Amino acid sequence: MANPARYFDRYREVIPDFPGFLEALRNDPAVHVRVNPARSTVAEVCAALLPLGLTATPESWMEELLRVEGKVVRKLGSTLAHALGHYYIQSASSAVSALALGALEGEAVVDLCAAPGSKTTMIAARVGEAGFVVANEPSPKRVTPLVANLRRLGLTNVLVTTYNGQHFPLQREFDRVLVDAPCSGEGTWLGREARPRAMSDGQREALSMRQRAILERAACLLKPGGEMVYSTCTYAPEENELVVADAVERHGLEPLELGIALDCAPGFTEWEGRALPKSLSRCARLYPHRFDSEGFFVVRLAKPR
Amino acid sequence: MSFDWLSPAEREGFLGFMEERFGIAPERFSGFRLFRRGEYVNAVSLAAAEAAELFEGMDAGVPVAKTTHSGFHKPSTRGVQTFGEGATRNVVDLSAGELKALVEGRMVQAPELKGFVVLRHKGAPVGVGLAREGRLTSQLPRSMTEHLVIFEDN
Repeated sequence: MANPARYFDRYREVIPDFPGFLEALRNDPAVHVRVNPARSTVAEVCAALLPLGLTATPESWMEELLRVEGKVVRKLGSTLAHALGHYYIQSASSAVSALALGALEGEAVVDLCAAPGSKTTMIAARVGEAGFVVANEPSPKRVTPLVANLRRLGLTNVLVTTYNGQHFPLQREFDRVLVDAPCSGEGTWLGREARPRAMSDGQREALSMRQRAILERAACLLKPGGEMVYSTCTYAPEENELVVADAVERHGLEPLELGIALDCAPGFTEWEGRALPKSLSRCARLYPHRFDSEGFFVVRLAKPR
Repeated sequence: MSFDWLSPAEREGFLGFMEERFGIAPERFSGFRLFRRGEYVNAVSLAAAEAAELFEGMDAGVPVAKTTHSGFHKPSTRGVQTFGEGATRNVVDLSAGELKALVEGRMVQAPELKGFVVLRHKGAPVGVGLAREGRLTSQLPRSMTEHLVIFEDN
C-alpha cells in the first residue's frame, strides 16, 4: 500500500511500534485455510496441497487452521479439495473471532452479519447436527456467496435469514451470538491490492450508529449467562471500544479475556479525552506487525444471569 | 419464506428412489427434514428445521436432488458430496485422469451403466455423471469446474 501514514496517522500515538505497523501494511498478509472436519483432516489437506508446491502448517492456537506458504497460494481456490469442501480459505484474524465465540456441540447460535460465511461455517462445524446456526445476512448480493459456501462445505445445520441485524426478530434466545459488524475495513488495507478509502466523520458516525444498533439487538437475543463476540476488521475506536462501551454500560455486558494465546494488544480505555470502562482492556486488538494477518478487533462479552 | 416440507408419503417416495437407484439407505436421512425449494429437494438438520419454524428463512441445508418434469430425481452435486458416501449402486470410481477428462468436458468409457451415476474419486463422492451408450459425461456445474485443476496424482 502506498503511503499508509496518510490514512493511519491518527493512530500514531496508540498503536504500539507505529513504524513497524506502517511497514507491515506494505506486505501481503499470511494465507490460511481452515480444515472442514466433516469432510477432511489436517493431514489430508496438507497432502492435497503438496502437488501445488504448497506447505501447510497448523497454527499453535488452532490446529485445524493451516498457514499456507508457497508461490501459488492464489491457486488455493482451484483445487479438488477446495471444490469438495475439504477446506475454507480464511484469514487467521477471522478465525480468531469465531474461535473466541467458544461455540459448543448442540448450541443455538446466531451470526448476525454472516456473509461470506467464514465464521458461520466454522461455528456450524462446532455445534454439529445437534445444534444449529442462523446465518443472517441482509445484503442480497452477499447472500449468494454465503449460500454457496455453506453448500460447498455440506453444512445442513444452518438456516439463512436476511433481516437487518438491528431488527432481527426476538423469537427466541440464543446460547451465543456473533456480531462481526459491517465496518470501515481499515484492517484489510494490506499489501499490493489494498484499496484504502477515506471516510468522512458523517459516514463514520452513521456506521457507528448501525454497529451500536446491531450490538444492542445482539444483547437482547443472547440468553442470560450466554456469551457473544463483537468484532470488526478496523482499527477505529469509534467502531470498536466506543460501541462496546455503550453496550457494557446499557446492558451490563461484561468483557471477558479472549482466552486464546495470541500476540495482541489490549483495547483502549480512553479515547480523545473520553474515559471508557477499564474492563475494555480485555478487548483484543490484532495488528499485522504483531499477528501476521488482517487488522482486527475482537471482544467476548458475557450477559449476566 | 416458509418451507414447503415434504409430506411423509413424498419423503418415503423420495428416499425410496435414492435407495433403489443409488443404494443410499433411508436411515442416512433420519436426522434431516426434507423440503421442496423450486425444483429441488433440500435436506436440513432437525435442529435447523426447528429454527426455520421461527424465522423467515430464505435458504437452509443442502439441495439433494432436482425433480424433473417426469417426476424423476436427478441428484445434485452438493447432495452427492454430502450424502453420497453411502452409495452402493450406479457409482463410478474415477482415476485422476478420468476425473480430469470429465472436468475438461471430455467423455470417458462407461460400459454397462445408464442414467445418472455418482462419481467417486479416492473414495469421496465428487458429483454426478450421466452414462449413456457406453459413455460417461460430467454433470458437474460450471461454477465448480471452470477453475478446477486436477493433478494426475490428486
